[in-house]
Amino acid sequence: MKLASLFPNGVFAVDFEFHPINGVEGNPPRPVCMVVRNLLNGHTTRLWRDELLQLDKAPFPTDPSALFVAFYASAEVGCFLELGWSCPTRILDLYAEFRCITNGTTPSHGNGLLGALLYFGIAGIESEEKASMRELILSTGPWTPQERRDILDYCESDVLALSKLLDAMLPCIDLPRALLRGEYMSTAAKIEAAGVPIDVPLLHKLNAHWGLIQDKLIATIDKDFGVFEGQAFKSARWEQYLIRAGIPWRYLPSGSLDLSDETFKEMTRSFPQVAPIRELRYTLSKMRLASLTVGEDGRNRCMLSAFRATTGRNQPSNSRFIFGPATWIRALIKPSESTGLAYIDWAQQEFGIAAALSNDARMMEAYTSGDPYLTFAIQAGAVPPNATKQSHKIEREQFKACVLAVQYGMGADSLALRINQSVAQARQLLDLHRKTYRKFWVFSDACLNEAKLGGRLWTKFGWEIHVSASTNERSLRNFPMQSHGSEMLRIACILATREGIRICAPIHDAILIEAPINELDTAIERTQQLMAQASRLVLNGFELNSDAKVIRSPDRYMDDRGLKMWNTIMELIDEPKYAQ
Amino acid sequence: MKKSVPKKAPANLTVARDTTKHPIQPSSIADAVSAAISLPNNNGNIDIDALSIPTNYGERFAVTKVLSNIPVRKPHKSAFIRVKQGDEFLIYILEDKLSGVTYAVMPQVAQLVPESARAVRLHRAVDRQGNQLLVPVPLPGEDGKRNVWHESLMVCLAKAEHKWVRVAANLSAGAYDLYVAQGELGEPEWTDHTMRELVEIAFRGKVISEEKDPVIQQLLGRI
Repeated sequence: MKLASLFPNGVFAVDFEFHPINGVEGNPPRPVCMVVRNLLNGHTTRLWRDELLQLDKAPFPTDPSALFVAFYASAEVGCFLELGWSCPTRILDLYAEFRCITNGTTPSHGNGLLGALLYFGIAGIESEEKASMRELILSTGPWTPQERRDILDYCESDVLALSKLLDAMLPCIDLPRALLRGEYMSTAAKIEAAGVPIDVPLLHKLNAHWGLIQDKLIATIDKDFGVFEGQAFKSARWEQYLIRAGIPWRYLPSGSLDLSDETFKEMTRSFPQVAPIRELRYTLSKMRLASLTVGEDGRNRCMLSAFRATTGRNQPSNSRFIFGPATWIRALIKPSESTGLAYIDWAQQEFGIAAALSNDARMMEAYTSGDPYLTFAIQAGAVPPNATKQSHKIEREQFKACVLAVQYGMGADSLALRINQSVAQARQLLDLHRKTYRKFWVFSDACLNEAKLGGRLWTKFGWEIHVSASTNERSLRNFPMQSHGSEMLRIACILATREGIRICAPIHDAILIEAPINELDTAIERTQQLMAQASRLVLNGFELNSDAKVIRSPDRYMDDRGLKMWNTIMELIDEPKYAQ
Repeated sequence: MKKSVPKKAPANLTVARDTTKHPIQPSSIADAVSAAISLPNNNGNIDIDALSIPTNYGERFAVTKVLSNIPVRKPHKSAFIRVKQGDEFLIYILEDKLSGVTYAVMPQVAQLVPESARAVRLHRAVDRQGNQLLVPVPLPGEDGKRNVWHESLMVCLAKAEHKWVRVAANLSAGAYDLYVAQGELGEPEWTDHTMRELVEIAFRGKVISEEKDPVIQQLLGRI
């Protein structure tokens, strides 16, 4: 079967050169030139910006009878959007396919176009030459006639490389599902174009006072802890604080305290009182407010880095994306006048996926009960059938911790730390999970067998992980849940975008949408229906519920975990606190 | 600046997925692609539902857990167990207290060491972790009576046919105490093994079938 018979109107390898408008990161792309080559007849078209602007549509078919081939297609589709052209409907993104083919391994030259070419033994443009050309394009011009020719030649060289890469990759591309991934890349471009609305005046104020704020922050937050010396976090003092507060902490094999952000994050769940220190440490060490890429229109835009994570999830830059790890900064998200936002997330998504994929009836029953943690405790016989969230709060929390521990692949020791109980009690909880959800554990073992014996795992829509001897068992057991969660999010984004719903950002198990205030409720309702549909598509008809958090202008978004930090910072710059 | 450059088309843009590397692919790529891209009444959108593939992990490898060891003993005092009604087996056993090994003894050999070999009824049991065990209960003596320990153990096992129970020795009472689980712990999952198969697994390599067996020779003071 040849591509020509599937796509009689052509197979087009396309590449754009572009830079952010006015050279400002966070602005939409400004196309500089485009080269397109019809791989069925070899025709190549080179167009400079002024020629592109004269066209009201792409100079080649973009309907389902033609295939659009690109490497990281959201960049190309981003240029389409900026030019006001209708987007291609059938996209084959060789970046997404290269990631899928090599996921779980480490290609020696990376996942870029050059890395992919070298992986398949194809010589490409030298990386130094590529870097200098990118620099020339990012300089935003104006360019001399020779520079224009050079840029077009460079763009065409990428198109030629793309056609060679397609030839090499085609035998191992799963085309039907590749087209779905391609549509997600187009969706991602639309999401990136929308961006997240930011309270720019406040961001500027924070930026202007950031140096001073940091010192004040330490003084304000650390007064309850006494663990900083100047701007330095002292582990010995932290150890003393933990002893005073009676908080058990994890130690490294070396004997020193485990001070990784991951451990802080985990401990924050059991001991919320340490959350401000985690936020402070992150804010001081990694967060650069100035790195947040906000365009001149006040929207946070950055590359979503679709398919970058092993699970297939997006993995945008922590410092550029407003939904990076510092949760307080998310309060900068503010809908513009007369509009509203909704943060819609699937309820207990991972538990629901595990239940449906394993077809464990008791687990599905727990999910549909609306409170899987309490239902788990009832099913395990630990609380009476008429127990409620209020009557058995402690037990519910422990069973919740157990469910999460299983999801994270924690052992009894870690769970004991988390629930502040003995290891024996933690072990008993984990045993209860195994006994109550036997079918899930049979499924989990089957995943491991498949991965270890077959060398790979895959999702219902074809995202794969290839297993090496060193692949972590925990990751393999968790892969089906994470990767199907990732598929679910992509499909929900595709469905919502097809219906014209404006998505500002996909966030792990949630979607942030935006609509005029008078249309917001309808948009939320429809998005929730589409998210339910996405869950049914991924989970053989099993439906996951979702919750919506609504923010209407002039309110701002607030993540509860960052509330204290946000209010502290607002006090320091004499802004009103966020009321809750 | 627009340039249209006819160039030679690539030799072969053929969709032929390497199925040795990717064994889950549909037999006809063309059909699947066509189904995905050209379904009617779908506004030209890809029909997502038509793209799903089975996630039948582990099926082609059919890995099964092999039951390779079954202890023959009384249940631990902290373990809740269930007993399978009707799954019983009469046998002579000999418990070597020093090594902790329990042997199956052929009847003609058992008669040589009547103080050590005992006729027992093995009951099939399982604990909450799904571990199988065979619980031996000595048969009544010639007078048809059992001692209080054995009698109380029988009561416990009879209860375990319907309830999750815990059995603990009470030295001062000279009998086993019975504890019944209060929660709804669900029914146990039994493997498909027959009682005979379980006994064979439990006593694999531990069958005393002749007088010259070193265990018997030792008990008779011959070595």
